[in-house]
Amino acid sequence: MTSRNLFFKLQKEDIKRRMWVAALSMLVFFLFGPIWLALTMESMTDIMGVKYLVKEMSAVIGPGFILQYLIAIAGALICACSGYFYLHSKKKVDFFHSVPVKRETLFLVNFFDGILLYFLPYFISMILNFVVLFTGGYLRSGIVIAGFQALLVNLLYFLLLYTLTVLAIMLTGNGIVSLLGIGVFFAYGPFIMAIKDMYCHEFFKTYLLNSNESRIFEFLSPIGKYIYKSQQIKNGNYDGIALSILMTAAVILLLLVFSLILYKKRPSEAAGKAMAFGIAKPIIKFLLIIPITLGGGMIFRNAANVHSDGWMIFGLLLIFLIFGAIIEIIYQFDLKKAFTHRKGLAVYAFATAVIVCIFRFDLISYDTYLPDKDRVASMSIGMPDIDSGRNFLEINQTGTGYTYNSAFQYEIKYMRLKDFDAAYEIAKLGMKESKKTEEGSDKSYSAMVAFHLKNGRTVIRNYAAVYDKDLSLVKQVYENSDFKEGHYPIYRWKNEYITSVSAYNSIEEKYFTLTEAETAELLAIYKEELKTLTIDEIIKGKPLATLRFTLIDGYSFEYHIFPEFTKTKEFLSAHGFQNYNQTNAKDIKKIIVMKQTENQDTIYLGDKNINDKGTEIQQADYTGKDQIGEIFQAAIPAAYCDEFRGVLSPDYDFTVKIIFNTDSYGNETVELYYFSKNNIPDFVLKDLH
Amino acid sequence: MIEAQCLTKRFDSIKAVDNINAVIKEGEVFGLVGTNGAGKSTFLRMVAGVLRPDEGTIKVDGYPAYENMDAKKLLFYISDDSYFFSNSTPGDLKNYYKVIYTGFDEQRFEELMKKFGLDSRRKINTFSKGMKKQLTVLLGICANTKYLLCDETFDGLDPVMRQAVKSLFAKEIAERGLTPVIASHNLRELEDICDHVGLLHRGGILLSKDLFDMKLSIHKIQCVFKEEVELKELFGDTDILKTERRGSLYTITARGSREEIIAKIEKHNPVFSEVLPLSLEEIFISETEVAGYDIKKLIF
Repeated sequence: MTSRNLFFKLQKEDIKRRMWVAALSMLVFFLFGPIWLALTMESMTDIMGVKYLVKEMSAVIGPGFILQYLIAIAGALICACSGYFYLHSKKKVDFFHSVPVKRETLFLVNFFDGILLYFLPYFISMILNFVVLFTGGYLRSGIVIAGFQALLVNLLYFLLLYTLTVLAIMLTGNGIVSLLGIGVFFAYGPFIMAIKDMYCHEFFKTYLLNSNESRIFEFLSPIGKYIYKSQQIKNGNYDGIALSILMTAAVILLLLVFSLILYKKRPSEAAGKAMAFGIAKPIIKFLLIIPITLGGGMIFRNAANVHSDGWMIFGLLLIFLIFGAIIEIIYQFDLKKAFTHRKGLAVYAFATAVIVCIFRFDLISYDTYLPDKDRVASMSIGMPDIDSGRNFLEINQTGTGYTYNSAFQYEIKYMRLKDFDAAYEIAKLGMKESKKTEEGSDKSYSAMVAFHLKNGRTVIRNYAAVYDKDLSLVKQVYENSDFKEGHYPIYRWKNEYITSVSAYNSIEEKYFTLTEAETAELLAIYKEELKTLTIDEIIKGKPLATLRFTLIDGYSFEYHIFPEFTKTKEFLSAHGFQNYNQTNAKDIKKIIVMKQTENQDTIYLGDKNINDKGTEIQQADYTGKDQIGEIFQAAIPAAYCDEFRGVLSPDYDFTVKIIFNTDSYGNETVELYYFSKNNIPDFVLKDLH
Repeated sequence: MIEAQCLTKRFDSIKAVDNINAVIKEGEVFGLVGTNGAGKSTFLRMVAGVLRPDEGTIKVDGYPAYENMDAKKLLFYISDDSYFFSNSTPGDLKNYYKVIYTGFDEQRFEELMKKFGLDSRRKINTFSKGMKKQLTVLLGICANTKYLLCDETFDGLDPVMRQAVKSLFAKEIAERGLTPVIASHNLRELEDICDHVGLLHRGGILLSKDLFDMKLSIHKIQCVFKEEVELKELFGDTDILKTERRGSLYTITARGSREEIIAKIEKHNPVFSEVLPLSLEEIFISETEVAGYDIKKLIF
């Protein structure tokens, strides 16, 4: 009998023994494949449009279907455990290891059968999916492609999860410990990143939590990567996908080879023990005890919001001792041996202490670190106080959906300031300010910077306060066209994404009927004029109107029209939007200015002018034309103020309520405004001293 | 031939097998006796290639046993707690072993199953302990390997089945030179089947001897003399292992040929003398007592 024959015959015998897995797999794929699809089709009608229907069908059989994640994860666990859990039983090991079959053959037979038990039912269900789609008249090339994409990506990440599970089983000798090991393999990366994030956030003033770079869930996590990559493919974003597939395949191959070597080396007597290899025990203990102790210390430090070093040390000691004992009990299956290997414990304790000191005393000078300028290729900068309240939804490459970003995530992705002198100076100022223990000047803004180094690394810092005297640096940054392109999502839009355009101000609202060419023209004009907008223009003038672009799925994005945007104004005028004249003081009936003063000592006595938070509120009403004119000139619309608070410096203690004259329909409009800190009329200050 | 040299195996701090030297010749039945924990199963698992020896070597027909297909092809290992695939039938196991052992005799298996009254289509998990033991023996016999390693295989078999299995072994030994290696904690079980017995105690081999030689070289004699005799004088250089006296009746266990011992007794004109048959148990008692052990504590 040739060895190939033996291999296939053993495969057949193995499948016979694992028939329950095959049956379960078939059932699950049948239910969540053709049956689910048929139910989805039932709920649809032709009036929904072909594009929508194809999108819905693709969501069921294409990549990124949530049930497929669950099936792949559960499938990997079941297929691997049913194939290799015999290693935990002495009598089964005696049986399989006494027969004249090479260990590598035994291993590979089980390995490939595990894959077949997932893949074959999936493949069959995919074919049935296409049959269902064909009978319903929905079979389109796009859906077929999505189906095969899903098959590929799900199989790839199934293999990754499967090989990791097999590796965990190879390293352990007991079912429960194996499951713990699998849990560690699946979640260790995110856990480490979460601990690192906690420590950085607690001890480093310039650390940016949840930045694009940390990607906690994705870091070294097969499940995180699986979900992230599936979503990426679903969104039609194929950037780096080929490389990622190759890398994942290489990792799978390495894991397979490593598992096979371990299987060959694994002593049969490991069955029933916690760990199959004695040498792995201290390594695994080291890898677990340190992050868990660090996590415990941080929980105690932050308990009751006290941020106390004493509590942290207590937490570190307590968790270190408890967890060290737990691991040793699991290893030895003996309570009495909870505190054996004391030398090892001392080493772990020392390593933990070193790590804690690095963070606690910033031994790596994290907060004061700035990369040398000549090592920086480009920079991204985000200023939350300057026009960052907009929607940073990123349209997928297929134009069928959105990816959600924070403003800075978007900027890190798309902003590359080649001329970064000003941004670098901002970082320098921020770094200097971070060293101070006292609050700096109230005229400051926050900034997040990313240094894209020439070696490919990205260094991210978050500066809570940048004292930029005359805003000269922020002006330079804002006027840099690379900043605008990386900050405003409009620069990445394609004309075909735009479904409708309208413009509005307090006087008029107009919906335009534009041809594709006209939309493209408007987009081009606006983008050009936006690039020339300066901070001085923002400070000086209020927007005349707002352009509202509606994109796919009905999402709206608003962009201001400033007085300097002459071409945009002309274009809109030509299409019927005429009312650029700003609201006039004569249209105002009354202005109410309220001043609120924080008064911690005030006791609420039922006075209507003192609210329950102990804030004292004063109010002054103005109806005189001169006063109204002066206030109106100084006041800035509240929404606009919020958008550009970093440069407009609104004084939120003063709230300006402008009540307009009643219109011909009997409506009375009220708008909210603020003053800039240095631009409050004297009489107002006097009235509300 | 299975040959163990300086074989040692430890499980953590426990020495399960300690420096064993043993030779198991082809075509003879080798019995391995010892108390629980004596190292019998560990020894067999090393012979079967399941466990890797920590020290020393173990070879099967010259091939190192551990993970060596050339050696494993020659062996069939019946564990003391055999594993059967869940929900399987004897037929399923037959199919599995057919794939593994190229010489598996399917027809013989079916015949033997009928002879032993076992149903090939019945689920094994409904079998009694004894039936399972019978099944494993039949599978082992039909695998047609040169060596059959049986770990406590006779434990759980009723006397009739035990005899049937022994007959089966005898037939296989006669027909194709099968070499069974039978580990048991019960010396009486091995008495009528083994050619050679090795006694294991605390991981070490206490003695390993040919049963026939042992039976020929140790004798128990009962005799009565007219007058008082000095036994040491009477036997001279013959090795007396044990003496017992009740009145004028002497019971003597001595090493030497039957003729030599009878001649020495006859010299002193005994009133009565008779050579009594020795059981394997008695031989072992004598041998191990000589070695300074109390076998009753070791085995019974």
